[in-house]
Amino acid sequence: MKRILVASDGSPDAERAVDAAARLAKDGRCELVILTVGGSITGAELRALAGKSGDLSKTLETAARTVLAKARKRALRIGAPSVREMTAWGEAAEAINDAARREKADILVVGRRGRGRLSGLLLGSVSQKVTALAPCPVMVVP
Amino acid sequence: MRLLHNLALVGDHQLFARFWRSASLFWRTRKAWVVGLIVFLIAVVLMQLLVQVLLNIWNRDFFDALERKDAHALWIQAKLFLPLAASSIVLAATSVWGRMTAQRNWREALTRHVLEKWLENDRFRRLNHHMVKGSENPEYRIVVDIRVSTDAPIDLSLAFFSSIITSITFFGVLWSIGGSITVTALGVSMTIPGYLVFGVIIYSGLVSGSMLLFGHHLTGVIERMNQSEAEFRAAADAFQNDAKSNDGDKRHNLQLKLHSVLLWWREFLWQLVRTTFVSHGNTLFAPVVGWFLCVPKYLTGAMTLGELTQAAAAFVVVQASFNWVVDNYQRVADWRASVHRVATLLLALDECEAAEQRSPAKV
Repeated sequence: MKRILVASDGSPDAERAVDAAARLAKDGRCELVILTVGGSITGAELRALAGKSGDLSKTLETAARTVLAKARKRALRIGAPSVREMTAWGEAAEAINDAARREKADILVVGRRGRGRLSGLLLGSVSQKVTALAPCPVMVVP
Repeated sequence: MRLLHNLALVGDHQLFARFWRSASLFWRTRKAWVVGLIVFLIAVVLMQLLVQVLLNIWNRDFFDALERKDAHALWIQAKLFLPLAASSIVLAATSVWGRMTAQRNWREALTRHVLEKWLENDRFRRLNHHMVKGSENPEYRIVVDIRVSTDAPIDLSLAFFSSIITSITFFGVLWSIGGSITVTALGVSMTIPGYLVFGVIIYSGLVSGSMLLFGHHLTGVIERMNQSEAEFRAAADAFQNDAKSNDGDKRHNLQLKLHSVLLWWREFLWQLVRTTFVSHGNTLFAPVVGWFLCVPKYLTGAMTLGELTQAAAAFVVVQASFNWVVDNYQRVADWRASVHRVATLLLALDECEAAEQRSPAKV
């Protein structure tokens, strides 16, 4: 096993997934790629940006960077030997599977539930969609 | 030559001032022609108002004849309608010609001015190489944004002028037809003079207030959405303009910009859903409110059927004029966004020009 891809949106479930992936990377001495799918922003936040000279792209990038920095810190603390970060945009499950394909990940680690709890209940969670279409084995962390 | 300024940070006032400095060239250099055209356009608006008033009176006379079952009077009204309708149609067509002629000439003058600045000393090349934040995609700005920024002010200012004089004129109609009404509540009688005028002011205030409440973010959202669309186009153009580095950064940026466009679009959708509640409600309620306000006087015989229809029609006309701001929300937002984009391009070209003057050898 050379490369593990873990998806994080900063939620507690995603943090547990990062921990598990970091342990795997440490034991297997392989590279850990942390992916966040950016772009989750509420209508209220958007309206606040519309009222002043805020830059949405910058806000999205900053939010994504914050999630990644936090996840990286966790992974390094656990002992992952090599950590790389990446950001994708768009529909979460699709973006995660695309990244796994592009990065040739040997295993994909996701949390059971992310931030979109209500939409997850209605439409099925991101982890369910990822599992259904993933190009590699998937570990879902409860 | 380095262009270091981030033009995305320039303030609103400065952008409008820069836009106007170039845009007003047309109005300053062709004074006689411009004054003639303005007088012509104002004359058309006034004649349109006159025809609108005559149609309103025709409406009253037609329904009065109908109420009396007076076939002769109805026949006269039918014959009167033809010239009135013909005048209205001819004036509408003339207005389109006048407005679009002014827009075409203004657009031409501003486009030529910006093109000249852009092509001079190959500035377009330097602008691409030293891409200044806020001046991306100059081709689109020259082609589309100049058109929008010169189209909208003419339409909007004529519509604004028309709304004001229409409101004033039809206030007179509502005042004279409606007269006063006596309302008795809790044993107290009160006479309201020109009650239809107060009715239309209160109703329009409620509609405009609701629209501002429901859609006060709309202009900001449209501006941001247009800006993000322009940034998305620029991110896509970057692949074509700088083919040697089709790297991950560009792909990442393209996807980020697409995501921003979609997020703004989602917010725009919700803003439109909210404002549609008010605008569609108003479409249904405005004529009915007009009728209901007049019904008490009609039932007591103080108003004929013709006057009732005339007043209800006048009510809708005034109410529509009052809603000028609300109706043109989106247009104003589009215009502001385009003015910003043209102005940032002009500021970037000014910077190029200043840099050329500082070190002419490097040009």
